[in-house]
Amino acid sequence: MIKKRIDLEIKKGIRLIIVKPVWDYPVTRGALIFHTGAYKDPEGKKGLSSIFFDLLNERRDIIDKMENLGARIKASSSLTKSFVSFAFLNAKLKKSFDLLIEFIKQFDVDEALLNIVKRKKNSSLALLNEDPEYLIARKLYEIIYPQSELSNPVAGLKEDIENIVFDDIERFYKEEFLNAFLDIVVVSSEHWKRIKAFVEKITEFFSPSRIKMPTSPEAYIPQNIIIKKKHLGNVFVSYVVPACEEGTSEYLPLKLLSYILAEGSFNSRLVKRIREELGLAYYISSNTSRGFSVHDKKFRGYFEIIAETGKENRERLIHEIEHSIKEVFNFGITDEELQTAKSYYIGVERKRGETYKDILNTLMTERLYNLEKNYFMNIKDEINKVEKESIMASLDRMKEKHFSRIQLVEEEIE
Amino acid sequence: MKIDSIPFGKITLSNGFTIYYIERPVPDVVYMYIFYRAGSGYEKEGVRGISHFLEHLMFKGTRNYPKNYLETLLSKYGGDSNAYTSWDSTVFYAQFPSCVAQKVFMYERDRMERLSFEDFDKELAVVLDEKQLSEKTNPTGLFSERLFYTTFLLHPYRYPVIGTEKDLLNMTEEKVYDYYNAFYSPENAFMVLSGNVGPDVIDSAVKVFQEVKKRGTFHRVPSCDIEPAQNETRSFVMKRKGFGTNVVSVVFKTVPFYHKDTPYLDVLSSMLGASKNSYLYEKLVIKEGLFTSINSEVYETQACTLHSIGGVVAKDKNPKRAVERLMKYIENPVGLFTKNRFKRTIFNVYADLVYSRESIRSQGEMLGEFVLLAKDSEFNDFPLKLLSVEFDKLKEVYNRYFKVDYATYGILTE
Repeated sequence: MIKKRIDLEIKKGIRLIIVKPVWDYPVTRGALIFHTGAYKDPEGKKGLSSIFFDLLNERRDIIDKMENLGARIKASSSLTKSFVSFAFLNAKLKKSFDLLIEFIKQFDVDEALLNIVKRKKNSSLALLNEDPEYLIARKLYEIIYPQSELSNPVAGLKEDIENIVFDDIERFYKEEFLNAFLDIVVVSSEHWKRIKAFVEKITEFFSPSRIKMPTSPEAYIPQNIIIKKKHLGNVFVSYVVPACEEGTSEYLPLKLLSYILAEGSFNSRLVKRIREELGLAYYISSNTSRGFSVHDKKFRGYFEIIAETGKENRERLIHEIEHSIKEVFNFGITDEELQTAKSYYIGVERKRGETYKDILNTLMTERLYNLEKNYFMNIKDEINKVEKESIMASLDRMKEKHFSRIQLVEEEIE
Repeated sequence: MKIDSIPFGKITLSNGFTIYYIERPVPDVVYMYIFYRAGSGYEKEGVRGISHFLEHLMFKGTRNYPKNYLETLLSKYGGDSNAYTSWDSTVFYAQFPSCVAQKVFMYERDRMERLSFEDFDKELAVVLDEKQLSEKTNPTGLFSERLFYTTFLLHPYRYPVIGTEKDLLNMTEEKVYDYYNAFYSPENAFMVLSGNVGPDVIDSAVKVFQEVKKRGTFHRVPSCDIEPAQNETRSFVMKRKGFGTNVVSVVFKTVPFYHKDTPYLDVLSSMLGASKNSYLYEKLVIKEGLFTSINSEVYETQACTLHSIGGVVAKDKNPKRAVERLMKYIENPVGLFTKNRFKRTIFNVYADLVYSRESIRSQGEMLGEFVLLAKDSEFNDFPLKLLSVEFDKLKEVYNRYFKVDYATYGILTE
């Protein structure tokens, strides 16, 4: 899907990737990736980075100019990285890039705007705290990343939001936003030199400095936890174990194993047995997280199996999942299962890059997880190379660590 | 502002089935949408929910294929498939490489005329479970259902797509078989293919689907003229324990999608509440702090489109007071009709069109929606109509439809 790719280092380590797709379309899409996020939120002010990036989206003068240009600029934050992503009409490219500079440079927010964003945050946290998957994910991060800032909640904590004052925001802008190392990726049919000239103007405002690393998580201790929640209806069960990071030799075998276990819908063992044959779950799947990277350091990911069922099926569901895990630990996988999983992921790669947005997302993933250049262009070959032995080794590593179990149940259940 | 037409092809078979296609050879992905004119809007008393239930049965095998055949097949190629039912249609969609197109078409042909009706009772229990679960765990979904139930008194849009418990409990194989025979007839359906759909793929589709025999005596969604005139504001309050926030929504019944006023209504809806620069956001979020967000949604339908305007009420504010202020601003829209706001909105409508048409998948889906709700030529004509909306006529159209005295509003609260 890519006709030309240019990788540049602009200044002080700021990296720029410009890609021209094989077909022309009159838009330019891109993203500034900031090496900062919720892992840097101070104690008592969890949610600071999220509120800062939300604030950038609320400035009325900027919104007004965006709408007049048909431009889309959006700031967002995550755990170890944050973003300003953009989509511009090529017919308005120069003015749109000027607006992007203004978006970054004109930090004209005030107390009143901060209060609006805090009100919104309170509403969204109220809704999030009703979301079963969010509640499980919060606990999962505490188990996988104990005593590390990697377990910080990206959305923040309700009790901390009120503590965030205007000075915190100003400090974040000066000390974090303008100093975080940057990766910049742009997808456009315009000439790369033109794009580079626009981007260089943006980078004038940044002074990347040393990156603060999160504390490495302490040793993993398997846990068996029950979370209770009112008005839940169903039961949610999650099995989780620490795993590797994407880009390491262990990652693809684990991803294939995940497909075989529960990620591969009707081709996977747990879906066939637990959902289809026994009717014990409304939903069952598994996933392999990519882990995290902060600059050139990587932090572990995790492997999770998650299921949802009615209250009456909880015990049987738990029994069946544990039985299925034991079975795969003891007897491994078949050649046919491995081949099906490989075909699936190779097929998924086929459609990568259907739009400029897809290409941008691929490049962002490459940078977000500090993967090798063109990682996704070579991934089909890497998937093909995976052998049964490396999957068995993944199984052995999980077996040694033991799964943690998190159950989310309605409050009256003992 | 210029928006390029997207060329598409069309073949109508002798049995009435129409195949639309939009070709783009790379990447090698075919996106397929099969639209059946069968949804809750076609349902009568005694069979409410039959379209959605039939959608479930469509995954349970045919006379020639076992259940979950398509999902299992496509998964091996990194493809996938799914379906949804709405007021106006039941849509089956899939994406796959062109090399399996013929197998997919053959399976879809079988689904169209040789459904096995396997697992009838088991699937009915699943749908009843889904309904009960959604009532318990999805308060916003239930709120929307209540809103439509209050807005319509006679039209089938009054009832939820999933159906009524009474009718589901009385569902019989005979009723479903009759409905299937009537509404899944080829002349009551059409297919849109987009992506790598060269002559081989199109030929294959023609050969496979021309073998299906006509068999239906279906009817159309009734006009909204069957509704009695609404001469008063209707309202309700829905209370849900544990719902952490307050939501309000006001609904206006307008015209069928194909009506000449539709482009005007779409622009007005955006001016009122589609962005952080919209009229109601300025008044109710920024100025009065009564809401934390405003949304403006358009439910485009064959019989009469609904325009819903609402939002999330700020934590410490009274929802009744919030809805009163919202209605007040809609009734007296001082400052809504400015040329600047109009120009900005039109330009953003244009930008949205450019961004959304980038994806070949979206192009296919949009073409299908236009065929369903209006006619195929609107796929390229409607964007031009949107861009041709005249400022001077806006107020007149607004006064015709956005009358609070004839609106319906709901409050969802703890």
